[in-house]
Amino acid sequence: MKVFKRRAAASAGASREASLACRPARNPEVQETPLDSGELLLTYPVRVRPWFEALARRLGAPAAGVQTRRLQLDTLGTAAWQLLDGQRTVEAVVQAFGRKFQLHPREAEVSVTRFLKELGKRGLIGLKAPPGAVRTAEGRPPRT
Amino acid sequence: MSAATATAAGRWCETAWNGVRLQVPAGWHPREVGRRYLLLASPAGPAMELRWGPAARTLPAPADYLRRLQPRNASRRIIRPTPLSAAWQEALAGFACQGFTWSDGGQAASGVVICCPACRKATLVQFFHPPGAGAGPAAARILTAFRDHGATQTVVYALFDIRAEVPAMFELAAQRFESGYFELAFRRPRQRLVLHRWGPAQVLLQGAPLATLGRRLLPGSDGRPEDLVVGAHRGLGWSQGPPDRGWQRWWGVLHPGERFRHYRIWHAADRNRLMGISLEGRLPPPHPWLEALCEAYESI
Repeated sequence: MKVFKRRAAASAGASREASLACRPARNPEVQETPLDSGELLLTYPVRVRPWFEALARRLGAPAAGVQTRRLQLDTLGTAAWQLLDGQRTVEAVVQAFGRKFQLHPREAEVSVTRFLKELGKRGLIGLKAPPGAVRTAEGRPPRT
Repeated sequence: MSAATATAAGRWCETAWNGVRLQVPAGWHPREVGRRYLLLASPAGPAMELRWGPAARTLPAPADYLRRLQPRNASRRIIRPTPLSAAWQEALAGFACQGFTWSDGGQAASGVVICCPACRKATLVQFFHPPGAGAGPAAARILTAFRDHGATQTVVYALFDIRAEVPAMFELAAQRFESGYFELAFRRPRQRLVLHRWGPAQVLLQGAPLATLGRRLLPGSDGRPEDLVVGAHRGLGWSQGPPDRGWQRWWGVLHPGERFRHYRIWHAADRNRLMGISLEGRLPPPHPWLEALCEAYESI
């Protein structure tokens, strides 16, 4: 059983060390709205796909090249988001997050990296690669 | 950090799983966990692998186990039997052992097959290292602390940040390690035991009473809970059983689905965790071992 359900590294993905050395930076177009609960509501623009926009235009809908979407973060997500200052590396964010909630290092790493992956998919953050980063495959021991 | 460089890091921690116990560098964490399998990884990658199992009838010699591991296809990696170093021999005194090494492309390992005449268990331990390098002094220290059976009637489980001493009559059935939730499930005839660990507690509770959260986290924990003190922590417990009076008692006898249920949850505030235990089955109380189990189940 794989703990924390992490998939095996892809054959041509970045190594773990290189991934942890990246600096996540927030998308400047994202707007933050603090809620009464202390959590954050993120509002961010999403560009409509050209084929969808063309279809909408043909159907008589007003042209909307950019749509606005919202994402409400929970307490843990808000804490992780506030640690993304563009200066800290992923590893530093993991350590700070783990310290704040007294998490096991591995548990903190999996939580934060999964969260960053989700933010990256939505275009809310970008990752600055460390200088001289090399893409290598992460090895796994052969079975005996 | 391989076994060759681990001693420089200093801190060591206990790792125990389903009958096997050892001390490993604090930076090594489980990467894969099976019923009788552990793969420990350091920040640099896989560091150590263990797999073990009971002998079927007679305990074979370690060299026989090693022969079974040899791949039939000659083009594949070949495992070479090697004599144990003096440090490993001293560490494993009392066991029947056979050392081995293999090298395959950019990977290599040194290991040992350990057969215990006392508990009739065979264990394969191997340390991964770059080709040409040895396993290092940390490996000998790990093997010195290696134990495959205990002297008490409990089995220790210590992985990540949880530690429990489970009565030996329970057999490990399943395990789950997810961010925020760990679960170890055990069984014995007519009874099922589950150890839970949730975190971070401050986020889960958020001002809500423990009873409300406990009812949500432990399905089946209905009714009014009783206050408990587990170690230095405040907690709650629920106990339910089939009715024991009048016709309802006979109804319970005729319907074997009726179960005794015990749930406990407590807040380890110093570790920011919620610890819980579920015990379900057809065996009626008292369970004298339950108190000791709760006392020894902790977040470390």
